[in-house]
Amino acid sequence: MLLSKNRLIRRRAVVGLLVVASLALLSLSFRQGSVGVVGDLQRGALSVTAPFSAAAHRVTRPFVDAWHWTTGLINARDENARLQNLQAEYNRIYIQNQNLLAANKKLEQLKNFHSQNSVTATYPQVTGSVIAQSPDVYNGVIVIDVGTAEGVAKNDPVVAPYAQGGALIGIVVGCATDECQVRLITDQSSGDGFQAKVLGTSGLGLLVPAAGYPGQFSLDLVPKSVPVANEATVITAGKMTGRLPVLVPPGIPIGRVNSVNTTDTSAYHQIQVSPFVDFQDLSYVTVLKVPRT
Amino acid sequence: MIGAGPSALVDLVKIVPLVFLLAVLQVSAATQLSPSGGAPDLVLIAVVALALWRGLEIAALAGFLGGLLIDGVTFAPLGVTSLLYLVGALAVARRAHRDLPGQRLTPDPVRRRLVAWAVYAALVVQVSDVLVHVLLGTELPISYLLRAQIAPSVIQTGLAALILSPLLRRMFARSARTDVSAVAAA
Repeated sequence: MLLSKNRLIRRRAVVGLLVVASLALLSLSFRQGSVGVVGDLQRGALSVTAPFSAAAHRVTRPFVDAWHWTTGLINARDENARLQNLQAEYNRIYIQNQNLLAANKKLEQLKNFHSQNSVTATYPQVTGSVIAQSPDVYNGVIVIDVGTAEGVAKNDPVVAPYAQGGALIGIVVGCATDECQVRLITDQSSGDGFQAKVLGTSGLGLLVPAAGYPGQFSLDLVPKSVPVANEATVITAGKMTGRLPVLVPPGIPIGRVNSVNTTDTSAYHQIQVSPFVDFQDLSYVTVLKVPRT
Repeated sequence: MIGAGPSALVDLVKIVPLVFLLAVLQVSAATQLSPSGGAPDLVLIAVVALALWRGLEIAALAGFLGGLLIDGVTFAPLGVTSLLYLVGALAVARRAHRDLPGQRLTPDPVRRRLVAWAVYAALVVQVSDVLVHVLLGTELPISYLLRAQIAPSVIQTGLAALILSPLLRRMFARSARTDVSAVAAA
């Protein structure tokens, strides 16, 4: 018991002494700063531990690097997920912008067509959007969002924008109050063809969808005496022939001459025409309201 | 106090290099491994182990020297860390041996016990550290200290204790002494 009591006293003495020493050092530190005894102690501690610290740093460096690499990976994964979300958002906005740009471009082209083409000066027109399109290649019909309410009638020609203006793409084949169906001129069943001519020449021909070349036209019955050059523009020249002739205003661009072949056995050129308009990308069209009398 | 003669010498040979090594590691490596501020208090873990298995005097002495070393190396005001380690040793020794008759020191067979005491001591030390620095004029928001210093340090000290526990047990728990007065009383 006596031993225990002595031990208790000794314990308190040791702890008390250490506390007092700590407080004394603390006071000394604030009084002297980094000079005097405190400074000497600090410098001494640093010089004693420096080699060990350097060694410890060198030994633990690979582990520290591994740790940083691991945490960096975790951070990179988080960053990657964040960037992927950002990229998805950016892509969405980018697509939206591209669509708006494309729509704007087409509307600009239509505007140019309206201001530059004499046909549009002759006939009133109405612009609409393509709201439906045949999903297969067999049926070349589109649906536009203008109808009889806007004065559109059956057999009105429809043009669509392209780089230099507008070009004929089809004929209205049926109308409701707010919608109309348009049969594209590339459709094999669109009739027997249009009267067309190469711009700057007098030779009339018949423009029909080229057999075996989807999306292309053949300009037939142009006499060999009429000079035809490649890249020449082909325009409408009058009415649409067929069982029910349709008046197609003359002077509407259709396409350009792709190739011209002449044979000794035939009195006519074999002219292939590529349309100006991309029929796979129809979004805005203009209907020319041709008066029927 | 430590048992007489050779036993004291053996303990001294173990404790001084251990505290020195842990202090060096604490200021050179542990701070770099910390993911979110703070750092594991390695010296404190040794102090806790000594307080559990060697008694308050040894733990206080080791804490004092370890704290002095750390303050010296980091150019902090000397005595602050020593004082904190003394508080930590005192808190652990008083609570850990409160219910033991005659303050008999027994080796703790459960590893988690050291971890729990280390977490407890880290909490005490960190709170005391905040108090000391408030008294010394530090004006950092408590919420910031809690988030950037206290919580990370306590958690990391617990984790480090888990790692150091087998080593410390091997060094100190097996050769733990039995208080002679307690044996005599029994």
